[in-house]
Amino acid sequence: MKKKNVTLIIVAVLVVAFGLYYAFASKSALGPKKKDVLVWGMLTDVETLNPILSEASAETIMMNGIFSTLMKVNDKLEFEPDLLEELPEVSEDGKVYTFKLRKGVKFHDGVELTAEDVEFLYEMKMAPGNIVPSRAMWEKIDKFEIIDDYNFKITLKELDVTWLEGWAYSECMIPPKHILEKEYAENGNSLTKGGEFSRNPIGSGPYKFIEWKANEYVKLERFDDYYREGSPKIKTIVYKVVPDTNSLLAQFKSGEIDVYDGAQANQYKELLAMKEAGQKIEVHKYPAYVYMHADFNLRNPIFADKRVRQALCYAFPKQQFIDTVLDGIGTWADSCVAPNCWAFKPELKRYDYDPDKAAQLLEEAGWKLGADGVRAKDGKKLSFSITTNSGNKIREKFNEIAKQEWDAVGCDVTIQNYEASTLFGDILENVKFDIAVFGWSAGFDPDCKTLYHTEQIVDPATGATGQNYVGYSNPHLDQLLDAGLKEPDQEKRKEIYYEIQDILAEDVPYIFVYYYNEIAAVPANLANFKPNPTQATNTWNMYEWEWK
Amino acid sequence: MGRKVIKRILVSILSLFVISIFSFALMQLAPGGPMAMYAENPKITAADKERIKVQMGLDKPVHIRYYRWITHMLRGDMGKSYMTGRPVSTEILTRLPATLKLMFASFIISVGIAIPIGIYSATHRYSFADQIVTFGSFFGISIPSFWFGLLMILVFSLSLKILPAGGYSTPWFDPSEYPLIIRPIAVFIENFKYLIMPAIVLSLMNTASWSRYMRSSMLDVINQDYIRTARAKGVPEKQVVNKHALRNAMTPIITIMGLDLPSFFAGAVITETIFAWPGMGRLFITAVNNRDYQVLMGIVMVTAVLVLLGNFIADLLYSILDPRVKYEG
Amino acid sequence: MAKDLEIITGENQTEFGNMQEHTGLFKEFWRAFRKNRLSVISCIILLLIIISAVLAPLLATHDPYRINLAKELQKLPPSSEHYLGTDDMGRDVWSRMLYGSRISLVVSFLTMIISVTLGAAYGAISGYYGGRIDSLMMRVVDVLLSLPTMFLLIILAAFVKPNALGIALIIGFTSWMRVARLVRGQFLSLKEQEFVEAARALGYSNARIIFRHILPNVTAPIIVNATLMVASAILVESTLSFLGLGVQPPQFSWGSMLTNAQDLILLKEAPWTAVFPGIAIFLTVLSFNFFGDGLRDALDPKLKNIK
Repeated sequence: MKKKNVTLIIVAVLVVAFGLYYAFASKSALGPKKKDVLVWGMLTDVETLNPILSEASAETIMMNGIFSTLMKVNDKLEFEPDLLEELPEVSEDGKVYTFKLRKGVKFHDGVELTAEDVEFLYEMKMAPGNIVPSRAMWEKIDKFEIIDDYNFKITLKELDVTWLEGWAYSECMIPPKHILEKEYAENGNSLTKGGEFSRNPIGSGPYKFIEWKANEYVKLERFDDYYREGSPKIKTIVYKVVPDTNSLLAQFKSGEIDVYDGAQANQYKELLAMKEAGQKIEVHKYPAYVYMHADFNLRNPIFADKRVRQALCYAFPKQQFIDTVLDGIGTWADSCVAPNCWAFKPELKRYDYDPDKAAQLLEEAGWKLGADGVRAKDGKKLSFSITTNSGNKIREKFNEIAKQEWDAVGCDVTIQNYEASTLFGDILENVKFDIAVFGWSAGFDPDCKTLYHTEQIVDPATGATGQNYVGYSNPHLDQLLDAGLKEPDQEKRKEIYYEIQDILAEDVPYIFVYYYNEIAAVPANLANFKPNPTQATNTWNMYEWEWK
Repeated sequence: MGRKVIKRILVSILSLFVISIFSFALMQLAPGGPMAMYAENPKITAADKERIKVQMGLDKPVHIRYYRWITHMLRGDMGKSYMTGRPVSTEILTRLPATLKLMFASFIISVGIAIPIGIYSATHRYSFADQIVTFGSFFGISIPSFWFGLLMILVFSLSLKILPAGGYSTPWFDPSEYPLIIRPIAVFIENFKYLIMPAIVLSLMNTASWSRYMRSSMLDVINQDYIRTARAKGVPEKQVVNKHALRNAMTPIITIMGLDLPSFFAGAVITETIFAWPGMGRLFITAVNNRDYQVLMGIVMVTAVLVLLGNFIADLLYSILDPRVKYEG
Repeated sequence: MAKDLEIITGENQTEFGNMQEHTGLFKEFWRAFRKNRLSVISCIILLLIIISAVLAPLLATHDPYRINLAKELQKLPPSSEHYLGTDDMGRDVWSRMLYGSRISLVVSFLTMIISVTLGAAYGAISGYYGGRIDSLMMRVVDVLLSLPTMFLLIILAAFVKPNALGIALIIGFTSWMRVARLVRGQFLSLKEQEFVEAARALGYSNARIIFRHILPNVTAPIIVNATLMVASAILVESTLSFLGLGVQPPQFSWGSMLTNAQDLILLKEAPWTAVFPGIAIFLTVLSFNFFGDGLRDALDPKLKNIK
């Protein structure tokens, strides 16, 4: 009897406690309905908030609040000045850029931002002790000259018309020299992701950094001395880490997060349904610069023949794949230039689903159908494998569909998926694949030299490295890719990239599958949320956000 | 006993050393490497990757890296994470409390449920309640835990909306919103509500299996001669169970709890993933996916130490509870 | 994960009668086993599941691999055409369940064979020779047991091909230790018995004594253990699938079917894709556990005498 009583009492106490809690907690228990907090759902935690060392887009999403860049890429995909008075002046030969900084921009500790801070960024990017993810744009700099506190000049080693874009992204966010140089010196001339600044950053952006709880959240608060008068409007921004897309959706539905950026394709309908059911949310869908592709290993004699590659393109039902696997949330791709880019060529060679044509092309290439339903040529069977990183359901489904459809035209396809770090760290780098399926994220400039240029061909035998994993080599394309970087006139550049797209669509070193479409769901009363498909991410204009 | 304890400690240290070589070799031999995290970003060129490899010391052969790791380790330095650049000890220490909190809560739930129902079903063998308990415990060990977790989220977070779907704390929680009297309650529940579902899911398997153990251990004891004698002498049944049988029946359970410690960590990997719990299990998964060798080694060593320690304590308890058992190393 | 094995077998296994000496043993066993109705039902369910896995090509109504990209053929609810509906790729769930059971069962039986063989041989040698060899060998077991199995599994998964054999290998490799302990415990006590002394006196080789004379006496606990091992292997396989380390498409198991359906949207639109594999795993594991329990009760003379 006694034991029963104890249990009863415990249960009663718990029920009463919860009752009281929820009775009074209606405001904050299951979601911040208070207007001064905006909770942004993040799929991953960040590694560093130091722009010198940062690489991941999750970090950009947060650092857009803490730091400022010299210029921005806006939602209309145009450059606009941020810390600059106006966009930089370019010299006749296109190699010298002159920058003019805004006066009176303050870091969160009250110190003014000057040209020295920008120069310091350059020095830090090139410092041997710093593990900087990408040095590409910095290595192109020949000279950095400070004219005065607000004016500086950068001279490039050689003409590169794509160089300026980087200044709009997180790798060029300006950290304060006066704080970071101490850490750099004290830490034996190096900055690390584990350093103080990485975890406690100070910038000149609209929001001050408050707190980072690993794997939980990052909290920012309004910086009242932000250089744009009257902004930002929202007091507190919390980035909450929710490591699973199911949980993200669940938390968005229950109001635990306000913004769900990067929703999955199959969740789009559900988000729309929420809106129709009267929930006050807005759902944005827009094309991104990331595309999925299936890479042929051209070193394999089967794929050296263009007709085989084209046949496989024809034999894959791309539109149906987009419609069913992606619920239509994807844009057909024929080449590597995104549809929302100025250099996009709308009419390219299209590979609409046509198994008969595929069979015909394979016949022409000498692959004859055998008794077992598998084609063969000179006694060798048309058998190959297709690989991607396991756990990526969309890519796994691509492989399953590809196997079914290609087997039907007489191939013998084996699916061999690897976990991501094996695929990217071993299989690709040592070119141990036949067909590899993954994604590239691109800038909004059409340049793609690192992917298709002969110089970039990977060869484990000679130790040559690059990103041309497929081993594609086309001297004419090489010329065009080089010329594309040197042509300042956009109309003329457009022609160059039109030709590049034609060549790639004809040669198909990759099967270009589709461009990702991004989905972002936000509260309906959040004004000025302007999705941005570039690396600037959707927080690019945080200073403008306000509650309606 | 003192000598036995010392011997046990020495053996444990040797074991840790063997574990370190074994796991270091395994991890380094696994295909792929930490550079894979830079894949799919065409801006990070091959030259960048080569440079970073050298900067991280990944270009050195395995045995040299192990030598470097173990010499640093002996000085108490577990190295730095490739991913975050923070010391591994910091990475682990920031996650360990969450995992321990979860493990402790689920341990309490498991013990609190398993022991009483184990006793009850042993003393009421073949009764209807015993059948239910038996069936329930088989249910507990037969259901995939990730599936059970998802069902709980569906019911309690999405349908009933009384518990958060995941997370660890509310960043915007402000106790001053509550009237003073219930403020402590609010703070308590604020911490408690995130814990409920993960702790239940993590405790499911252990609750089920421990109640089975408790039942069979209790049955063993009840049928011993001395209990029969006590009964024959007319000692009340309640006293027989609580005074005489329970103490002896508990001893094997304690060993088993010690042995089950690793499974807590194993379960934490799944539970933390489902409920976005920021503990060591998730740290482990991220570290494996990114081949963050230093962090992996750190986690393996820390869990191994905890497990060895847990078994050690269980053995000590065992010898205290049951004076017939001499402590054996 | 493999710890539920111990629930029943435990470390405190009692001695078993020498099976060879009892001729009416099976009858006696069956009489005891029959009494436990749940075990008998489980046994029948298991037989049905195994038979349907074997006869999958006959029972399947559709090609389980056949993807249908037409939207109107996807996520169909159960009907007379598709007994258990279709999944998000337009594949027939009933047919996939049948074929999926094959991988699940093959993985779990392979695991059981690997783990029992390795564990029994290891435990037998350790227990039979005793002394230093025994303490060294048991130390290795202790070390392996002190690493959480899930950690080992995840690390080992990088080394094997993600097919049935590869997965069985890694699960087997992380679960033999308990069998080894169990067998070793039995050997420690059995090797002192008269019939072993007699065999030694007759000059039989150690190998012969271990495998021909002592091991048969340990069969009963090993069988019980093996049954429960199958149950836990099915669960481990599904957990590995959940972590993305299970069998890779186009192969599929119940575990990977369940994992693919772990998507809130799919759960809402086509709950049957998650419900049926979940029930199948649960029911099979449950049946193996009950079956093992019944076996234990029927084979263990000590518990039988109590009542």
